[in-house]
Amino acid sequence: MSKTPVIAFVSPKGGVGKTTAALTLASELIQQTGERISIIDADPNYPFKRWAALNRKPHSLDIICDDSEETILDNIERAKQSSKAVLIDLEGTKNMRVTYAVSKADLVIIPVQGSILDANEAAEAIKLVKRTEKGFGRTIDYAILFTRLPAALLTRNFLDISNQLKDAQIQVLDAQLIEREAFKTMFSTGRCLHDLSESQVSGLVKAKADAANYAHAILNRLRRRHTQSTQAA
Amino acid sequence: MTASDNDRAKLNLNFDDAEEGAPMSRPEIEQRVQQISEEAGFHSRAPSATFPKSELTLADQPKRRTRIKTGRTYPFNTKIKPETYELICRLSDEATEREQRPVSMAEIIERSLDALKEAKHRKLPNFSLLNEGG
Repeated sequence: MSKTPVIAFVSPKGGVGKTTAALTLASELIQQTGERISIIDADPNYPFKRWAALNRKPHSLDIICDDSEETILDNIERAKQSSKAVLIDLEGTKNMRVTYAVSKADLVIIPVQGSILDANEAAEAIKLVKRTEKGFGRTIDYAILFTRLPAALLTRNFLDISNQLKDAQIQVLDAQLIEREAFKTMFSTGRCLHDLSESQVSGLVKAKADAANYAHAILNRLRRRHTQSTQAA
Repeated sequence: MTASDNDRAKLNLNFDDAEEGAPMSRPEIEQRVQQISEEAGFHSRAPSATFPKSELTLADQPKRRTRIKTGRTYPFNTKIKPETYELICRLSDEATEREQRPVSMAEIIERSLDALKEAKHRKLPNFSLLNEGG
């Protein structure tokens, strides 16, 4: 694993929460480490470009708008030079730019909502990670991240999918993202999670707690993988 | 539950460099990504590099016939009766035959309009006078 971790958010299905998951992680990392973080916006709709256009993003967060599969490798290398962690938000389709990003990733996060359709799409992403791992002869960690879960209770669908994934020995992140207004408000206000105030959105404390658990789960995976690769080296 | 820092260890992003695998050249990486990606159904969006490029230059292109400029550039689309259409076609064919040059349907419509304007301006006899004193 390289010194600067590269985390790619991948799902062949759109609307599963890749962009929200990326910004939530960036917010938490900036808040807790104070380090410079880069987000590569590799979605042709450029959600981060629009978010940054509101001019309220922290200075320590760099948004890099990527054009195509021909530019993503250079952008990843550039971002690795200038920041302490690189997050890549990819388009929710099956295209080659995703494979380029996965080939450079240390961790691939696959957001999934509690539906069997999402789970099927996630399987495609996992297959791609496995093929890339084999093709490049390096271990690429991945984990399913459950997103947009209802706050009140865990649905039967979610429990069913969760059990099926466990049975199939699919890696699932030790944290989930609950559907919270605060996560949506980041995009409507152009702010990071920790720059929001209680007057702007309710339930901020719970959203911050979710973000902290989520970021810890990600860094735990990275650290575990880093230890393994150091021992193997 | 709160996100207090007391609950858990502080996050830190300090990792040592431990690159895996042999370093690869850029073309090697690209070739391998393309192979893996296509096999997994994640297709390229880049324009195909094998698209045949024409070797003809401008000078090689055949000279095109100079078209007659009619000045008729404005589109006009409407529905007419079949018999009206037949009449315009017949008048166009007759004029083409008679004048030994292509006379289009548009020209027939223009000539018809000219004739209509002329008829309008021509002083017509006041037929009502004929009935006076009758």
